[in-house]
Amino acid sequence: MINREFRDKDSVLRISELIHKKATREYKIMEVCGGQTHSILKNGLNELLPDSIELLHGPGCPVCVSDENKIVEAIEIAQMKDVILCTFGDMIRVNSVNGSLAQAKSRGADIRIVYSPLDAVDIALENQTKQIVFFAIGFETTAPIYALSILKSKKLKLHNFSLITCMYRVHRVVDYLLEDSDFFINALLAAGHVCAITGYRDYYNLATKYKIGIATTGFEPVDILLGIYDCIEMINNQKWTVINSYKRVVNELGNELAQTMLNEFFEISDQVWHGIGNVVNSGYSIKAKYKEYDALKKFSIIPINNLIENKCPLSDIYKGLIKPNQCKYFNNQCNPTSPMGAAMVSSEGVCSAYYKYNIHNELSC
Amino acid sequence: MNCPVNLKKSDKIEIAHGGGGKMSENLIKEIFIKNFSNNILDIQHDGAVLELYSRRIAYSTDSFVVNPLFFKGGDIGDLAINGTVNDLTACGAEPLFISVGFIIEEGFEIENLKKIAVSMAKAAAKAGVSIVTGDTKVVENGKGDGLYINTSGIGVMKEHIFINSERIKAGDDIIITGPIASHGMCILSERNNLGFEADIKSDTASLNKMIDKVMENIDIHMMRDPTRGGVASSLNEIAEKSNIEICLEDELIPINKDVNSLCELLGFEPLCVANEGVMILFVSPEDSEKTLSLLKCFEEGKNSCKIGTVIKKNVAPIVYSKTIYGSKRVIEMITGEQLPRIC
Repeated sequence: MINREFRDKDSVLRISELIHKKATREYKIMEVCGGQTHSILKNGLNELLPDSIELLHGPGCPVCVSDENKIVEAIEIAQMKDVILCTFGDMIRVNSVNGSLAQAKSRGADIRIVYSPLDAVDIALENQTKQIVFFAIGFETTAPIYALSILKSKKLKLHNFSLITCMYRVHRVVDYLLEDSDFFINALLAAGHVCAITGYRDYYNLATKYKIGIATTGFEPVDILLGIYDCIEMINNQKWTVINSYKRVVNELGNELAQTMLNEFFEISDQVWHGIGNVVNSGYSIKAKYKEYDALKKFSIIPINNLIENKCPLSDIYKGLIKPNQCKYFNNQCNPTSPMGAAMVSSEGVCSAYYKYNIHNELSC
Repeated sequence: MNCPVNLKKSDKIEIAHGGGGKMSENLIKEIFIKNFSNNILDIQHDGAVLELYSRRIAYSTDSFVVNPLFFKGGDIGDLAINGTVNDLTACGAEPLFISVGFIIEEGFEIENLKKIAVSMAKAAAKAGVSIVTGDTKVVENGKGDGLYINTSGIGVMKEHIFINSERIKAGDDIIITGPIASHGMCILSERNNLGFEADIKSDTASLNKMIDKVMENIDIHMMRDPTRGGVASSLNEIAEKSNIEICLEDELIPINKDVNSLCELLGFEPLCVANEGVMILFVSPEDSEKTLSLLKCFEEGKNSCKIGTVIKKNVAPIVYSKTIYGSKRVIEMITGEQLPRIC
């Protein structure tokens, strides 16, 4: 296998050893991003940590947190005549009360998997008699590219491109979770790629407000262990601040060009998080002056706001009250072919990660 | 709180039903096995082994719907021959006769059909098989996608060769005959919608001559041609059939650098990506070295290596891999499709 600098075996084992030496008490650390959760389990990093460190898996998988009412809306639009709905592949199998996009596709809706919203703009250019709608889910990491897709469509003078927006702000939801007295952590691995866009200035407030250590952290084994090491140092020294453990990608101010783009087209709005509920100011929506790019407005869809009662205890998993494999539905009623929640099917989903890499079995070698 | 309830169960075929993962498996079990069940089919190997007038015959079929039809390292034609040859080979047979069915869309370029026929003839000659019967159907414009090919093949089982997952023993070594994931990532990179180019060649190749050489000298317990669903699906199916625990080692798994990079970029697990020119072999540990030296005499097997071991038998089936850090991760079968229309 390819052995890269940030996967280097000796570095990983050395940092793991240092963590063992420094870990003198109990620690609860939440990794925010689903990509980090997967990397931890894929590389077995949890096995390299002392038992006194508990990792909680945060709400950082965009597919998992997406409001399923948006899937209902997306299906409604996709089934309209002369509409092509474009989406990222992960979203296609997430279920809603009206089924999944994959099922809508099997019933004849023109639903296409693309790798970038800019590809959807190209499809719009090639199919000017059709309406191209992109299902825009994601965090601050993906939002700038949605802004860019509107800009590109505008420059090309296309009037057949729009977005169903389901965009989330990570910092705000972490703040919301921490406000809950049930929820306790000592430290946070802030999602490196989100911080690459937003910077990490805002995190100083969280650190002091909740007395936690925060490390902006990357995704490779060395990055993650470094983030954990920095968190342990902060906790041991009761130093409630932010350390940038992902310097090769993140700086304090973030990507200002991306922020400018984001602010041009989008405004902060309330957003429903799947498994968490409505969180004030936790999302982005398209500004009124660009409403022609807002698919719900364009197709006169009335936004659905009903919260559906369900037994999937995803918020308990985010809060660390249970682990995915302690959920009574895990690998019973809930599995990748028949998911009760998106976390079981998304490539960054926490339940999917447990299912894939870490399940219930005792391994002997 | 709110969470998508699984209220709607699929009542139509989805692309993922053809992906070679769990959804395919369920479809096959619930519809085909349920209706066609017999003691030969139920073995669910790459092909069927039949007793005909006291000779053992292997019989297999496969359909090819790859898009694009021409790709680096091959085309739908040689893929269709090699695929069936390898399925027969995986049964432990000497492939002999191939049938070919063409479903061609109206408007398809005859020049392209010629090119495909030439490459089929070349692939058949290389594998030492004869194309002995065929069928041609043309469907109206828009009702097909250029060209689909079905091949089936007959091979004769060698005396004293029994390839069967029940013969796997605890301690068996698991050998792979070449780097993984090349075919699936080649097809993906050829689809022109990535916005960049990758120079990845499909591994499509017939493996019968090479495997024949090994079978002459080594008692292979089990073999599998890890096509759709990749090594992960094949090993999970084998683990499930024979109730074994399989331990791989990440460090040992061969993969070309460019293939691995593309997998990472797109978030694919290489073990779940399709291959069209590698075989997985289960052999006794004392035969491991000799097997490898025999495989390495062939171009298709020059990068053969051991990738893991059967730890225990008669246990709950599981496949996992040791990471380079000594920790472990479970290797699951894919659920839906990583990529549609790859073969």
